[in-house]
Amino acid sequence: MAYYTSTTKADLEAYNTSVNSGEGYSGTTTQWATIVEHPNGEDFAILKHDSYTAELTEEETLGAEWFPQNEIS
Amino acid sequence: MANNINWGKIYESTYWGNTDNNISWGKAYADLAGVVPALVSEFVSRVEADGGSVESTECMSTDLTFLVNNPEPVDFTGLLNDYSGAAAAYSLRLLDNTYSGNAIKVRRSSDNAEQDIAFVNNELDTASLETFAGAGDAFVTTWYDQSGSGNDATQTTAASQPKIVSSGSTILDNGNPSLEFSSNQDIEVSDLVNDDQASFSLFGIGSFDSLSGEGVFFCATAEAANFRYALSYNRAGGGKFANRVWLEGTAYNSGSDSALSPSNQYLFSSVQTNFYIDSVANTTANAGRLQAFGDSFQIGSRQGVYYHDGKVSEVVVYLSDESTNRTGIETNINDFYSIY
Repeated sequence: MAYYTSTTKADLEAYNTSVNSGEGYSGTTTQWATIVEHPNGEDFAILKHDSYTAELTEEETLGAEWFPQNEIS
Repeated sequence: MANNINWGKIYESTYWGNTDNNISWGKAYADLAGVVPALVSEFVSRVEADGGSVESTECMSTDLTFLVNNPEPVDFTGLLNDYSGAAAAYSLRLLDNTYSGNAIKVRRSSDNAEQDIAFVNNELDTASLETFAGAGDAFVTTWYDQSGSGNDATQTTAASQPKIVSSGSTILDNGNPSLEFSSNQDIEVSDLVNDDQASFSLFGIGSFDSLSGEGVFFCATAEAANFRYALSYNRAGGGKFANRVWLEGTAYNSGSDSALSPSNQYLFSSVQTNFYIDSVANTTANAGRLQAFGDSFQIGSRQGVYYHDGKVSEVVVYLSDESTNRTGIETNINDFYSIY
């Protein structure tokens, strides 16, 4: 699944909101996806919904550098 | 009377001499299909031989046919009836004959509507599930806790909900319904495991699809850093299971000796300091100290990373030492799932 990335978290929050509005989630489901924060604190990503596009940078996948592994020894 | 049939309904105003007969009605139900007319005829003969009379053979036939088609259910005893005290119990089969709730709540892909799915004949009502899903997919938003503790596992984020129906068909693992996790899904319950939990036993059933990365079946994590219990696979490569606990940053491992095979269904049991796969104890060093710490408990990831890529069919957690019950619990599970 592809991701949208941005250095502006608000852009991804806006994308999430647009998907939520379009899909009309109700009941237990409250949102499309959660925003992933890169360990560098500067980059953010959100899973792309197949039916919704945005003027954001698209990545086919997120590299391992997005996910800290400090507890794995 | 030795049997439990509603005799009044069958006999009408007749009487069949010896009321202490020992017909095995459970067997008779199975044998009756297709032979009701012959049975009615024989029955009438016996009643008349005893000097009685039959008011209505047509009515008898109707009643017998009804009983053939609606046999009394066989008494069901679930895992939790035999081994009570679980803190949480998630399954797609009924685990307790006193549980009257649903199995799961699902969201369908066609319009995002949600619906509870219950049990039929002690198993997931896949007919209702597939009817609701239609030709599309369905995702689990809630995996209801059958233990009575109210620890339902939920996932409120659509993209993170495990799948249960794919293109109109229930997802199966080794022939039984299963939740499918694929790189971005998990389901969670808060406050299942206490901080500094002294006793902990977990029984889980699952499979993984690939060894492309490390995946975590189950994880209990404390708010405090570096306190965690996790059952993972392919840790550091090699396809081995790892039963791991971090205490104040130190890892205590208990893992399988040999690589395990993708797509195989496994039963894994974490009981105190011991770890078993398909009821066989691993022979590597067990964790020197195994305690579960957690304010949250995830199925399918380690707090949003190391997502599980595979399936999970059942998870039962006890906040107690179930060493003496372990083999019994494993037998109950394997009798149903035929894992090993």
